This record gives sequence, C-alpha cells and structure tokens, in this order.
Amino acid sequence: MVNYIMRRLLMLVVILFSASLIIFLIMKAAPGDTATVLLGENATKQAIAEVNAKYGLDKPIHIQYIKMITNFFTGELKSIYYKDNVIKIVTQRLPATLELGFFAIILAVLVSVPVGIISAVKRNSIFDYLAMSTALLGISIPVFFTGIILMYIFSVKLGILPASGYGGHIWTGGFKNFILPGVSLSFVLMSSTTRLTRSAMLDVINQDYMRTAKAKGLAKMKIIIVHGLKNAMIPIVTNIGNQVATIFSGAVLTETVFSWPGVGRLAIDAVFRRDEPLVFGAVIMLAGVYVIVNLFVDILYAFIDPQISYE
Amino acid sequence: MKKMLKFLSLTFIMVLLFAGCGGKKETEETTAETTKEKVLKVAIDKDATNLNPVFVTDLTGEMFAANIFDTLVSYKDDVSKPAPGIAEKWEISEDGKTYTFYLRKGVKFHNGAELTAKDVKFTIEAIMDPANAAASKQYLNDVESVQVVDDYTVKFTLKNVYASFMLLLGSPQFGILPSEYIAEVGMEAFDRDPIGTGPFKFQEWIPDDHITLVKNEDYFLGKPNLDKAIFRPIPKAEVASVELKSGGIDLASSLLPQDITKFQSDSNFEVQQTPGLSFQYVGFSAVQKPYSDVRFRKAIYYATDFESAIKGIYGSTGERAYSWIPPVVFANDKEYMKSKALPYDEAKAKALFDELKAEGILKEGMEIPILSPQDAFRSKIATAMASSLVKYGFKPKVQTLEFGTLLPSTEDGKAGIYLLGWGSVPDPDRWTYALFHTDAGKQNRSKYSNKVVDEALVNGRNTADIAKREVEYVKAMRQAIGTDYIHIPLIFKNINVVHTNKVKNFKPSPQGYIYLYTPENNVDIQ
Repeated sequence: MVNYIMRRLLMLVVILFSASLIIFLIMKAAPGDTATVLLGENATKQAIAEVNAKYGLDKPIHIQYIKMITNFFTGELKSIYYKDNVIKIVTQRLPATLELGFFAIILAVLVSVPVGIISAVKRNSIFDYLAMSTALLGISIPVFFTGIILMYIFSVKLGILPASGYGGHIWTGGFKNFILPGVSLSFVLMSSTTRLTRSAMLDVINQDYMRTAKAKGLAKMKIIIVHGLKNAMIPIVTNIGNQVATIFSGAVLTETVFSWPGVGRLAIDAVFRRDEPLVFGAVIMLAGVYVIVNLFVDILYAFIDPQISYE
Repeated sequence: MKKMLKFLSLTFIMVLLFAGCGGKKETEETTAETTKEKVLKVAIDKDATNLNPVFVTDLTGEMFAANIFDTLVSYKDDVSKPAPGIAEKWEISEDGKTYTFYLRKGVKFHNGAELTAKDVKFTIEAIMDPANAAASKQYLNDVESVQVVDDYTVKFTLKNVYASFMLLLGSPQFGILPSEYIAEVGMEAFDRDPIGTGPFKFQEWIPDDHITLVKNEDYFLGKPNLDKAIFRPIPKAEVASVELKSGGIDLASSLLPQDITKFQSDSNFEVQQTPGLSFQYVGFSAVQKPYSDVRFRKAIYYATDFESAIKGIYGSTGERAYSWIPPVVFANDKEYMKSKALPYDEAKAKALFDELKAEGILKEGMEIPILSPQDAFRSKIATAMASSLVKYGFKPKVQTLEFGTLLPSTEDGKAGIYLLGWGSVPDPDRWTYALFHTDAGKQNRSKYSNKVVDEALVNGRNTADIAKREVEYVKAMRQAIGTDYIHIPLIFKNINVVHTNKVKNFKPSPQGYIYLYTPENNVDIQ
C-alpha cells in the first residue's frame, strides 16, 4: 500500500507538470493580451510595451514558461493584477471552495444513498417514481436557477437564511451561509448518486447471497445494509470520486451566484483578465487537489472491498 | 465498514451542531454591533483588484480610492468645476503652463503623519515611474516638472497648455500617497493595506468577500456620519436585488433594468438616477472595404431601427446618444447632431446597398461579422443589426467576445463593425482625442483620419478658453459623426442607485462612484 501511494504521489508530479504546460500553452494560444486588459481601452502602445516589459511578457515563450514554473515552485510567482503571491492568493480562497465542495458531497451522500436504497427496495412504488423524477430534475436544472429560487424562498420570503456571501468557516459560525449554496451544489451529485445507488442495489438484491441471508432469517434492515449496500458501494464511491471534479467545476457557477469567495471565481476572473501567473497557479493547485482526492478514493476501495489490493 | 459509517455520521452531526450553535452566536453579535454602530452595507458588482490609486485601473478601485484618499482638487460635489481638496487655493499662469497649488496645513494621513508638498511630488513621480506600470501615466506626457516650493506649495510646469489638467488632478488615481510610509512598506504591500487622508480608513479586505472601511474621526473636511461601510462584491445583479430585499445590503448600483422598475414602485426603497459618464456605440473600420465607404455605413444606419432597438433593449437605463460628448459635459451639440442621426428607412438602405453592389464593393451573400462584448445590451443591439442585414441578402455573423479577446480584435481597424463603450472624466478632450485623432494610437480603433477633425482636436486640447474649445469640439463631432458616420452613437448610460429608505443623504455621482462622504452629502443610515 505504501509503495502504491508513493508511486501515485510521484505520478502527481508528472500530472502537475503536464497540467502546467497545457494551461500555459492554452493561455498563450488564446487571443488577447494581459497588458490591454490591465490598462483598459484607453491604453497607448507605449504604456502596453512598458507593462509587457515589466512582467516579462515580451520574452520568448519558452523563457516565459521556465520563469513561470520556477517562480511558482519557489513561491515567488506574483499575480499581475493583485500584485501579490499567487500561492498566497489561491490558498486564501481554497478553504471556502473545499469546505463548500465537501459540504455538498456529504449532504448529497446523506440524502441520496438512503433514497436510492429505498427506491430499489420499493421498486416501482410512488416513492420510487417521485425520487427518480426529482433526480431527473436535479440533473437538468442549472445551479443558478436552483440558487435564485432557493434565495427567493429562504431569504426574501421566509427571511431565515442569508442569500449570499461567506460568513466564515463552517465551524466558526458560517454554517447558515453554507446551506443555500451547499444545497444548490449538491443537487447535481445527489441526483446522479440516487440513480446509481438505486441501480447498484437492484443488481445486488437479486444475488444468491441476499436470498441466503433472507433464508437465514436475518432482519430486513441488516440484509440491505450489511449484505446489500456493502456490495453496492464500489460503483457508488467511484461515482462520488468522479463527481468531485463536477463539484469543483460546478462550484465556479455556485460561487458566482452566491458571491462565494472561492478559487473557482478567482480562476475565472483571472482568465478574463488574462492574469497568466494567477491562472497558472490556480490550475496547478486545483489539479493537485483533484489528484489527491482521487488517490483518496482509490485507497478507500481497499477498505470497502478487501478483494482489492494495491500490493 | 459499519463502524466507519457510524463514526462518519456522528462526526458530521457533531460538526453541524457546533457550527449551528456558533452561527447563532455570531448573528447575535453582529446584530448587536449593527444597532450600536452606523454600518452601511453596499453591493459592488466585482471585487477591487487594487487599492493603491497608482495601480487602480477600474471603477471599483477608483471608488475605493475616492473614499480613502484625497486629491489636490475635488470634483465630488460638482463635476463641472474644481473645489478645494488638499489644496485650499491655486493659481494658473497666464500662458496656462504653470499651476501652483497651496496646500492646507494640518492634513493628516490615517497613520497621523502630516501631508506636505513632498507627498504630492512623490505621488506624481510614482505615477510617472515605468516600474509601477500605472494606467494614468499616459495622461502625464505634457508634464515637464513637479517642484516642491516649500512644505505647503507645489508647482507643476507643463510643456503645452493642457485644458483638462485640473480634472486629471481631481481623478481618484491621483489620490495623494504618504511618501514616508511607502518608503517603509513598498508600493505593492501598500496596495493591500493603504493609508490615505480621506474620510474613511481602510480596515479589512477579504478578497471576493468584503472590504471594510471605517470613518476617519479626524477628517479635515468634517466628520462622517457612518461608522463603517462594508462593500460586498456580488457579481450577479439578480442576487444584488435579492440581497437588497432580504436586508443583506442597504445600497446597490448595477441592477437589472427590470428590477429597478420593481424597486421604483416599492415604498421601502428609493431609486436615484443621474446622467452618467459612460457611453456605448457602434464603430466601423475606416481602412477596410466596404466599411470604409461612408455609403455603406449610412446604409447600415438606415437598415436598422436603432430608435426602437435602443428603447426596447436599454429601457430607462440611459439616454439615446447622437454624439460622443455626454450631456453633462460642455460642447454638447445635441439638437444639430440629432438632426444628423439617420432614421430607419429600408428603401434608402436598399438603394445604397444596391449602388455598392453595382460597383462591386458589396457582394450578394457576403459575410459581415459584427463584434460585440458579452453584455446583455450590446449583444442584443448586434443581433438587431444582424437580423436587419439578412433582409438585404447578407450573411451577418454576431460574435460576442469577452474583453480580453474583443479589445485586441478591434484594434487598428481590424474589425469591420464592432460595438464598444467609453467612460471618462467630464472634459470633451478625453471623450474625443484618443478616439478620433489620426495619431491617437490604439484607441482610434476605426483608424479614422480626417484633417479637419485632427486640427480641431489639437486646438481644443491646447486652448484654455472654454468658449473657444466648445467651437472646436462641435466642429470635430459634426465632421466625424454627423458627416462621416464613422460611429453610430447608441446611448449615454444613466447611473441608477437603489437603496433602502434607511439610507439618507446619498447622491449618485455621474462617474458611478459611491461617495460615503462629501462636504455636501454626508451619507447616513438610520
């Protein structure tokens, strides 16, 4: 296991290096330039040349890349707009995104797994139809729509929750602010996990060992949870792992709608401003988080299913 | 597995319980604090990127600079004439090339240090220093020297007469910096923790979440009513409206036209409107056929019902423009320019298009790209133009692009038809020279060139007499817009601010800044 983790961590370096090269080339291929956006419509050619010289944007492309990646790993890369350290800017915003993402994932799992199980057990019942249609709606409705509707009900009409903004960490009093964005963001994951849990459970329910368990006279609850869910867990966990990326990319929209100070909004603004160092840093750091989460999911497999071994 | 699930659920429930309790406490504390202090919560459409006036490039940054810093002269209460700011009086030499400012004594920075002429010189030099890459540097090309005469007197010598020089010195980017403090911390660290002399002190900046300013008890022009102002970046205009209704904020600008109409009929809110200093237009390339042919530009003007499109798309958010110079700025020639606007006339459009087709300048089925920003207004105008061009046998193609791509695509006459905007200080020079003068450089996106216009713009810039300047700018606009139709002016946008009835003494500014304190308007909240 330790060997496996070490190998994966080594791969992380390769992945981050590739991500950095790809994002750098995309930024260079994109039309538009940093100085024009920085100085605005009124900028003269001379002013633009001065900005390009100041940030080394007039240097050959390979020199720019080497400088950017060296500065990033030595912690000296600075945002052109914020004039501050890129790692500092991203790590300032990262907790808000991670907290919201994990809050949404936990919420989605807590709701969708039980609902999926009940749907499977009570297949073709009214509950099943209702759950599946809601799940379909959840996949189809975009976050900004759900967000605005929730705000209207809970903030304007009922006045019980703040409409937007980050009130601090979830554990230091910002919990109320997490509810609306968390629920909106979790909808998509909730919907796909409910559907997947239902179909995984349906597969398992008809297996021989389930019948054996029933014949042994075990309680229905125990059969479903211990014998059923445990065997249905692998596809569910895989789905949740894969959806982490969706949650983080969906977080960009959620962060914009709910005025959330997260890294998704930061990255999008940086792209529009052509703040190349900041886009570069944010993408590498997000890629790192994504790879680590996936590694964690893979390790989790071994705990869920003892047949899986990484030795 | 079972144990793990149990543990996870238990942890989650504990976290929720603790967080829930904390949340309540925090809310109670905040409420208690709010009742004690006068706190104004303001929505801004995007976060500031810089607070150091030298680095500021956008409206949000300018607005913060205007509240934290002071300029030599002030245009906060009246954009048409300078009022004393840090300078209590000034003299302009007869040849219009020497400006002497006499500073007030006892003006203190937020750290207690006194402001002197040395700080003024330092500020101007910081803007001119290429290492700071200041966007305002380009406006100081006419400055020959800045001289400290004594602690409270500073003298500017210009190379040429520069009519809008006072306005420049009154712009928020020219907020006076504390030279000694910056020598200690550096320009970039100062950007995150600025110190000015203004009515409000910087307190806290949580990026993308909020910026808090607190009142400066020792402000030299009077004591602000508000104790604190919290500015929250809310990028979605719909959400800003929801926050206003739910009490999350007290004041917002940049709301959607339909929401503004709803607030107008709600007695709990006040909607304030003032003509603004921002403008939107359709531009044509002067160097690329067929766009460079005035008959083509006139045909486009005739082909689209601009009057109805502007009314329908912009609603009450602005006033139809016929020229470049806004109504609040002098050299406004509205009646004449209005008479030169071309009405919707399909027959005339067809006749002109046919003439150009017969000469081989236009071809049947020709593709006509129209470049527009991604905002809801201009992209709709572009679509309206495209749908009318289809009728004449063309294949119009609307391309909505974000600014990083749009701006370079429209440089040097590269774009045949493009939609853009402009916003500036209230002087006709800043509304015309950069756009229409042959040597203006990159901002003359159409690559327009006309001797009459060039001469008028130079005369206008280098003359101090307002009446004479007015004649020159009227001449320039009549030629470029009224005869050559190089642009189709669309709209001068209004500034709309909505606030709850609790907010008192607030007055919107034509630049769109939220001033928390001016000598005439000391904002308060009940």
